[in-house]
Amino acid sequence: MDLVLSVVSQIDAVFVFFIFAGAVAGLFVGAIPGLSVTMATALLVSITYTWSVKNALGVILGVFVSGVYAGAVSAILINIPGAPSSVVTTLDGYPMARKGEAALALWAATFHSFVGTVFGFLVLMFVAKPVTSFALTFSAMDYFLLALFGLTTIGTLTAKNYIKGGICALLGLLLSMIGIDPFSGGVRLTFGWFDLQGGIPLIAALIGLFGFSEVLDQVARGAMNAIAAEAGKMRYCFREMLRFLPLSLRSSLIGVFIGALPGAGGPVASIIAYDSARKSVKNPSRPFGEGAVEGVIASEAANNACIGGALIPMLTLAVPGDAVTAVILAAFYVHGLQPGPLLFVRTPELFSIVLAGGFIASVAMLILGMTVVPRLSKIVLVPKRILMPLVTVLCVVGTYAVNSSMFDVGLMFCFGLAGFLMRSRGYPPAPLVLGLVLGEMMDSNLRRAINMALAGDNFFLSLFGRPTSVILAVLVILSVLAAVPGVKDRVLSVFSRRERVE
Amino acid sequence: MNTSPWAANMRHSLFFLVLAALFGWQGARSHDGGDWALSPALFPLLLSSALALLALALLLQGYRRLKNGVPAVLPQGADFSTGRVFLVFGLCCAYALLLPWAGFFPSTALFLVIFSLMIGERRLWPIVLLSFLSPAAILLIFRHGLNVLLP
Repeated sequence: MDLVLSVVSQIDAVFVFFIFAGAVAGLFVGAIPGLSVTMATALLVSITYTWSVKNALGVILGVFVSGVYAGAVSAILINIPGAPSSVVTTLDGYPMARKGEAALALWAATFHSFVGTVFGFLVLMFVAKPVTSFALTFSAMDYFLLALFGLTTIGTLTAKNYIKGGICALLGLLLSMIGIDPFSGGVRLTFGWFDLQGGIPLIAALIGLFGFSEVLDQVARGAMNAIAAEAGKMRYCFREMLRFLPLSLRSSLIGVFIGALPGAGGPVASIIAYDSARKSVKNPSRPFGEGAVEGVIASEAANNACIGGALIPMLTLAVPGDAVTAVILAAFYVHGLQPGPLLFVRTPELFSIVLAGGFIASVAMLILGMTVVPRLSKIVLVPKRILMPLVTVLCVVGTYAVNSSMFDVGLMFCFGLAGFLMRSRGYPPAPLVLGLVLGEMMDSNLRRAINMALAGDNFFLSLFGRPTSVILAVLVILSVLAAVPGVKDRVLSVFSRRERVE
Repeated sequence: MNTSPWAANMRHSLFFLVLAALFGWQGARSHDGGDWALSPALFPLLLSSALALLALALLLQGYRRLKNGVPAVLPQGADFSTGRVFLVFGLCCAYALLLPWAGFFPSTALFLVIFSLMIGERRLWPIVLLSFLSPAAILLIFRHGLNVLLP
């Protein structure tokens, strides 16, 4: 009760104003591919270091919460995820927009991002310490298996042919290996090309595979009318959205837990939540991948719940959960604060400021999602003859903005062509992007795990001797087996035969 | 050439086998001579082996389906034209080459005029608005508003 009162006591008009200002900025930064929330937060640290801690944190949290949500806006409307954590939202969000349900998809994303964010901050408020201690028990092998589990599920989700999904995921992982090895400092897989030493820029790949390849796909089809005949009407039907609350809370739970694991973050959370939704929702509005609103809800609730999750280890242990919280951690140090176990002793009001900021930022996000975003949904009514050239220019600008490099722009075009060729031949681009995102995490954790196991008494037990590792390994095996044609049917038929005998 | 998608899958599998070999070769070259557990070559070699295995599985799947005459549906419609795509891709490459040389505004305006004409826009006012207003808006928002560098 004291904590609740302390959170409420932090709220004043100036604080609310700064959070709303941050949320407006976050909405645009998140929705424009190439402008990342991390970049905006880093900029804000330099701008706000002379401000009071409270106002600085207010504006940063506004950008963070609204920016993570806004990645869904471009994912739904033009099939370009604003950030890697919105990749999964494109799977059902864009098909919904094409079917004239852009407004419904945006409303679902808005409402359930709000639910996810609030859930994440509630977990941060009440159970931060136990979640942190559990997250700390994760070993290098567990991180590797978690990422592997994410990849095996996306293979089944986005490809009718599992082999093709697997090939795309492996290609993504191989591409993520290009560049300088973080362990040895040696160069690998660059084929002697100097420009590739910095690795494959993720944003260029993301924009190319989703945005530019969509332009090429539309050009190939020759259909140059609007994306949809209508954007759909934004009906703020809370009752309809509350129907999906159990799914939203389940996805938020996944999001908050994965967010609390340092380095895992939104992309993994959204894939696993999507996979869980696909398996648990018996009668989706449409098949998943063809415009099921449940797919948008699962992905968005999970990636927004990650915010609260990522703040847990940052505040309690000074270990950032993702790139944005790493920047926020830097902001804390700039202001002379020390997050970690002593935070609650030395500056307990800071915890209340973060919580108050998070809750108000989620309300700001909901209000902006209900007022500004519906106007953006009209973009699907613009004829493609006008929209596609403009999207191409935005792809170029968004790619160039990250590193100011024309090489990245060239790579983006190449990824776009590759994405188009892949799609037209039944190879889904989403596993490739996720492979790119997760590659480094898998590589470093696998090597670390093997190295530690070699130093132990029993190699196999060191790798798989812990309950978490066993559970994750079993999940990976089940996920792969479920995708093998015939295995699932055979297992089901065995069970039904047993029932008949009984 | 056999136009069945299963035959196409078999051709793709050969491409992936070559790719796996190339990545495997490059991965092996990055081995620093030390312990394999910490070698930068370990994960790329594991991945390229897995890619080769999946490529072989695709080859086998394609062969069996082709042999059994399993019907397949092509994903694209009748109006699907890859030629148009390569034309647009060529235009985009020319735009990327022109950008550093001519600057953002003129090259983008020219690119937008040609692209919109190429995909069937014939009305003068939309072309003018698209080609001159949008680069100006992007310049204003990105360069002056957000302080983001433009090509």
